[in-house]
Amino acid sequence: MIRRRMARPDHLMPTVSLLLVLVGFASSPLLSGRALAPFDFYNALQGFAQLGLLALAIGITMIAGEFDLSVVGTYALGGMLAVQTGAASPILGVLVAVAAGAAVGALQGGLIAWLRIPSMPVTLATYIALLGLTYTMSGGLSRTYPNSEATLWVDQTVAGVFSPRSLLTLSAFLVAALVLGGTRLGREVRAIGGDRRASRVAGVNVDRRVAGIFAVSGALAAFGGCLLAYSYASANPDPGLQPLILAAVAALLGGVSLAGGRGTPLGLLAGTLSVALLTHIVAITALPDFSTQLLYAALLGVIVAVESPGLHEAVARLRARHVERDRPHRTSATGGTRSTGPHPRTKETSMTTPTTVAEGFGFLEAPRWRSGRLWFSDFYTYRVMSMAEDGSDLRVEASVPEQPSGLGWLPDGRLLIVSMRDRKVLRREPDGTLVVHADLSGHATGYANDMVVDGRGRAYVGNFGFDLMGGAALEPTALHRVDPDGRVTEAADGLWFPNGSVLTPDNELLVVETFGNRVTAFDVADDGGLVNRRVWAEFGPLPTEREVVPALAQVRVAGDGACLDRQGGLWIADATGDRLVRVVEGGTITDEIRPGTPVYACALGGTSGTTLYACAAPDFHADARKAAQEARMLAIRVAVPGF
Amino acid sequence: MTGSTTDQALDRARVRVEGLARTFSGVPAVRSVSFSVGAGEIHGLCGHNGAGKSTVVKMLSGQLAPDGGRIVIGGEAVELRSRRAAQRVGVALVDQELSVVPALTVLENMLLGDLGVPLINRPRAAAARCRRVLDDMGLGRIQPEQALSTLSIGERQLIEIAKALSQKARLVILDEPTATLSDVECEHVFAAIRRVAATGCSVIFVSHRLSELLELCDNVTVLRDGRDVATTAAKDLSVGQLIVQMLGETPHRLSSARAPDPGLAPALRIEHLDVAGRLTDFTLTARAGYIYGLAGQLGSGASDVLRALAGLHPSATGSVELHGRRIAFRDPVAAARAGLAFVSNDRKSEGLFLDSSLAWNLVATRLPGLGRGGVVRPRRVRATARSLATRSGLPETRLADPVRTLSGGNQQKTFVGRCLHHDDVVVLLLHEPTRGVDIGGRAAIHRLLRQAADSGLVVIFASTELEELLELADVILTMRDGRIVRRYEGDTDGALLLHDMTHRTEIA
Amino acid sequence: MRRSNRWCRVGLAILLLVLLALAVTTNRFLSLDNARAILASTAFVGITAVGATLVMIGGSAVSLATSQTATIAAMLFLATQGLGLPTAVLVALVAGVVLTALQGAAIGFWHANPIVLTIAAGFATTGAASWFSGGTPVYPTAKGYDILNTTPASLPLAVYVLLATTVVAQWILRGTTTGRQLYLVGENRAAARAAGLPVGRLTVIAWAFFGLCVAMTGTFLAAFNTSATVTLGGTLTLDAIAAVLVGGTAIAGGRGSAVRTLGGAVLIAVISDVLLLRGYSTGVQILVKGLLVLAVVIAVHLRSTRGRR
Repeated sequence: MIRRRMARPDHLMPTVSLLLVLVGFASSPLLSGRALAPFDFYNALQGFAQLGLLALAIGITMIAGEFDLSVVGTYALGGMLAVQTGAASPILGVLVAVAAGAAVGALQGGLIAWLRIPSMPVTLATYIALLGLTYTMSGGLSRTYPNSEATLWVDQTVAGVFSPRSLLTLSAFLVAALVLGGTRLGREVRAIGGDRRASRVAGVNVDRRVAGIFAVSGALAAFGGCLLAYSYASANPDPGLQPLILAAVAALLGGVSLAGGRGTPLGLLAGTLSVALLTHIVAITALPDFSTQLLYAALLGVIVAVESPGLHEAVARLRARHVERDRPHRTSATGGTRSTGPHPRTKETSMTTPTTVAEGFGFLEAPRWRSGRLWFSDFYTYRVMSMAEDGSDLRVEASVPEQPSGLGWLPDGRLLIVSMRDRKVLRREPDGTLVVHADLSGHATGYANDMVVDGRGRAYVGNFGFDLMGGAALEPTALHRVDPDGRVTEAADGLWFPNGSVLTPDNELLVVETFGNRVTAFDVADDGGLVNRRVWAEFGPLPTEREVVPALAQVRVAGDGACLDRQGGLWIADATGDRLVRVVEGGTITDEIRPGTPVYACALGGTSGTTLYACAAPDFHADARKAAQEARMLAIRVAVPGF
Repeated sequence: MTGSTTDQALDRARVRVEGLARTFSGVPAVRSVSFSVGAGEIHGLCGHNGAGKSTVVKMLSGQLAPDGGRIVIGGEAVELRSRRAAQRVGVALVDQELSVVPALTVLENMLLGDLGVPLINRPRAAAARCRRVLDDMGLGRIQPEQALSTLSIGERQLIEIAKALSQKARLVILDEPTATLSDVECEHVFAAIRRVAATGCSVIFVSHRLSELLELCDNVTVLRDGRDVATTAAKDLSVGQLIVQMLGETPHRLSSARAPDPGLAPALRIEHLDVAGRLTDFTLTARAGYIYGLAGQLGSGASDVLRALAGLHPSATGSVELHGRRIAFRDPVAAARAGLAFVSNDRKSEGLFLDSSLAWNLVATRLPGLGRGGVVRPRRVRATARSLATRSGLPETRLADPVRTLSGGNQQKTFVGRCLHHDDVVVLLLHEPTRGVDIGGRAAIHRLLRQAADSGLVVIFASTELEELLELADVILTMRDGRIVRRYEGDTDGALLLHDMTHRTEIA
Repeated sequence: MRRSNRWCRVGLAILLLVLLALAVTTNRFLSLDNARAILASTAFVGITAVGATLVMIGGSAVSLATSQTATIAAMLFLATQGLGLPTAVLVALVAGVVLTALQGAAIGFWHANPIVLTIAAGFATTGAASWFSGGTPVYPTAKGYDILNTTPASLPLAVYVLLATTVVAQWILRGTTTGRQLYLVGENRAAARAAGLPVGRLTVIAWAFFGLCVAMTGTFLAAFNTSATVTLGGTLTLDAIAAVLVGGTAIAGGRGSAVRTLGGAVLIAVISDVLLLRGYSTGVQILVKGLLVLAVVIAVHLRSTRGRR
């Protein structure tokens, strides 16, 4: 905790500067040739007393985000008034000086707060006016202070190193520290300096605080001037700008920022002590004047640099340029971070290894290549979409709230979509509206599934056959034919989860049976009927289990979506095998692609026809796919093109 | 929870708003809004842009006085003349604009401005209370003595929310508090809100994240065009139904594509634009003559795309090519030199020179071209100003007037107009191009932008107004959480866009 | 809020009338000698003030290192007299320009705080001056400088330089692209930056011109005093700022003109002169000057924010 406190700039800066200066002070004997004596400390503390109240005054206004140039004027005025009115009673002089300082400050503060004028021009003007006032009061010369008792008292040694003047100055700092640190005023002042708008919104009475701060600063400066006048036994009407500059330096070294919001009275104390000690080191060691000047210049230079927003930006710019240089080419990781929506990848990398052309979907199915675009369904965003070959130009083709699946086209180009949950086949009219093409709810015994449409507009639609999502037991089911007029006929029976289907050039219908461990073939008769049923490819025996999970374990290829290539090879997505397999009639697997993720459907497409698109997702569980958008469309270059 | 409308419930209702109305310079922002919030109820308030949400919030929190209607808190009608007065009546507000001070510590911020805090600090009691509040919000890792500047924007927002919730108010209003928060942080906020509501405090939660509203709130009031359209129990609502209530019956459709011809050479190619913490991997190939719309709410990264391109994010990484040449975009001067003109969403502080005349504002960005050898040619300046004013639909008679005196619509036309008909400008970037502009002015500005595109510029704008996106853009990119969600070129409607832009997609 | 604008104009007119009445009724005011004296007293501060106007218009507020910069220019001028007058003048001017242009670069490109930066620059400059002079006055090594003390047509050369500088500065501000852009930057730096205006370059130019003016004042001061100590600059810093403020330039930037600054300097000089002729002490003159600055600052602020509250 102490370390974190120290790390804050308004604590770090004064501590460091004071420590360094103390070290310098302690080692000054090396340069001066004589040891440090109590009067060295006394002199340093006297220097501190000279500057202290001025630094505290201007420091407090800086914490509040203002800059009180007139403190030097109030300083001079305080001295002049004290000298003139405090001859008989020094206390009276102090009271008059402080009252005048407070009054001037309050006036300024009022103007600045309520008229919302920036503080610098107002305080500059006040400074000039005060200078005029002191000149008038003194006729341009220094006024002597006749009360020599007070003069001696103020500077007598206390405890060897202090004087009443330095003790009073010290106590002013401590009182300020108590008030600002122990009450709400401290944080309100810092809030006003840190972010005035926010403090107003938060309910701080900004105007009253600002006026009060200037009144306090005026009073402190006047008090300081008064003490100095007593000490010198004369009041100087024009101390010049130098005290102001030194006070500002003390404040900056004390951790105060000109932007406001930062700084504490104890920090200011440390800053002032640093300046006083530095001045004294120079005096003891007889270093040339310009060494302090240059040291201050360097210190302030560092402070300015650290607080320049433009410098930070320039550094950020350089750093960004380095990052760019070190990162030659952004490659698209197929692992894929958590994306938040479907978008294409624009990098063109070699496609013999699977690449992601689009990602951010719920669960993709039924990919079809048509007219230069890839069409597909997304189960859980309930959309049918299409995109260009490289994944760009994504378009929403239809919204199907009951979950779209299989896709196909009538000869006149109208799109047919399987609507799974309500077991309908929808048709998209030219104006974009969806109408019911056929209703299979009286026929299908499970969710409607994939579909293939022949050249005459006849659609062959599969269905689950049982409540897969609800965890029911396996049941064989029928394949239905939907004629172009919407008439539904049962075309075949006894299929174990008919899934991906394709039509060959020889008018054969190939149906992948997911839970059948096989691909079944039919010949399509002229009237659309399915005849001559046979097994086209078998991967193993029919599963004996009737529960889904154990049954899946028994199938060698859990065929899902499929597509045909020109040489009669059937690409099938193996849903549980995380792979795409190419099968020929008879069951031989000629090719296998493992994209590193489960795949559920595929289609050949692209301008050359040799791009195998595959629908990938981490799994097929509805809840998981609905909650995340992790499905992707992969693309793999293969040798044999599709149709 | 309640949501009922029996008389008894109304009487007991902690906060009641009746017929609230407010007009700005003749334009009604709120026509008539009425709803009630019971003790311990979390009431959601939502509505599309311009529906009047923020005006209602301002009236409830004392920042604006209503022109009509009344506010009843705890059974008595109240007149809230200032934030302080509202605070005294027991209304706490978490505003969109943070009111925490970075220069102070977390504890100090919690205590700042709190009416119940004594003059003399009681550090131990205050720190203990602060610790408890932080832990309740799931901010156990944050120390009360930590400087607020060390916290992220999301964490600062959480502190602000914690501060409001711990103020023992009767009504807490949260205006879009979760725009910049992560999912985990949102959960903490919701838990804290539920806890506060359980103590009997009324909560009004304003958000555009519809699934959040339904998750958190007991009842939801939808505002549209300055009126309350419906107040329904959240359990009876779905996001889709909310959208219908917000937009009206038929959302508009994007008329079919002026889709960019892929044959055209790309004018602006942006790749992997990244701004730490705000934008990830933004890629877009834009072609001349087309208008691209970035649809995204606060925190979606849409505005950061534009600002990064305009050179206002010095730490942005990525590659930006204009007509095949890579351009430096981390510095506004370089971006302007390359031909990118930026119209920010804050024309008052980051756009126009309010005290300068209309003429000077119009020519502000082309002064070097209007002079010869560095010397200004007044006749050319006047002629250019006149011609720009005419082309932008601004009255020539006002050329000498300070821009401050123009209407909002004319000010925005000035801002946009000064980027047009400029030989050096190739890309026009606009953030909320018609913010604070009435219908007529909006149509005029859209015309200007379409003309700009037709003359060969690339126009990219970011907006949260669905109608504007659908009307103006040829291509729409929806954005959320710093990434592109989806790209639309063909048919789409406001519901789809809103789905993408809000927190989660609908799970029917 | 046109009402308050009209009140301001009325108030200003009344004040000027009162001043005019006072002036005219003052003994020995309406004389050529007096007029020359007024112009002469404004010359040195006026040249610097005109330069400072550009800095203030451009939004960089003020420099607190003006006196020190004039001092070092003066020292260099006197020390290089042996190389011939033109060279000495060139050295002094270049020194002034380089010193301030560097500060302008930090302020323009890095958005450094002008107050702290110029305090630091002031220390650095004083340190350099102390080191250079070794604590003793710098005496000229030749007599070439004396030409700067000539009084063609009974007016000090400095007055002509002041008028020329004012004309040049006014032309830069109103007639060049740089000047016009400077106004915009001063009015709203963020907007100027977002619009792609070259904020950094413009700030450097403003500060460089300011440095040129300060260096010119330094050379005249050197010629006038025939020697240069570390305190040669005197109260130049605040006097210049006061003249700019009385001329009606707002410290926030974005408005003002060189001619108005000249007017401000002359106004201050006239008022001081009237007071002097009427027998008031220096103190009263300074007091009235301070009150004058205050009044103008408030008036300028109220006028510029009339629509904003």
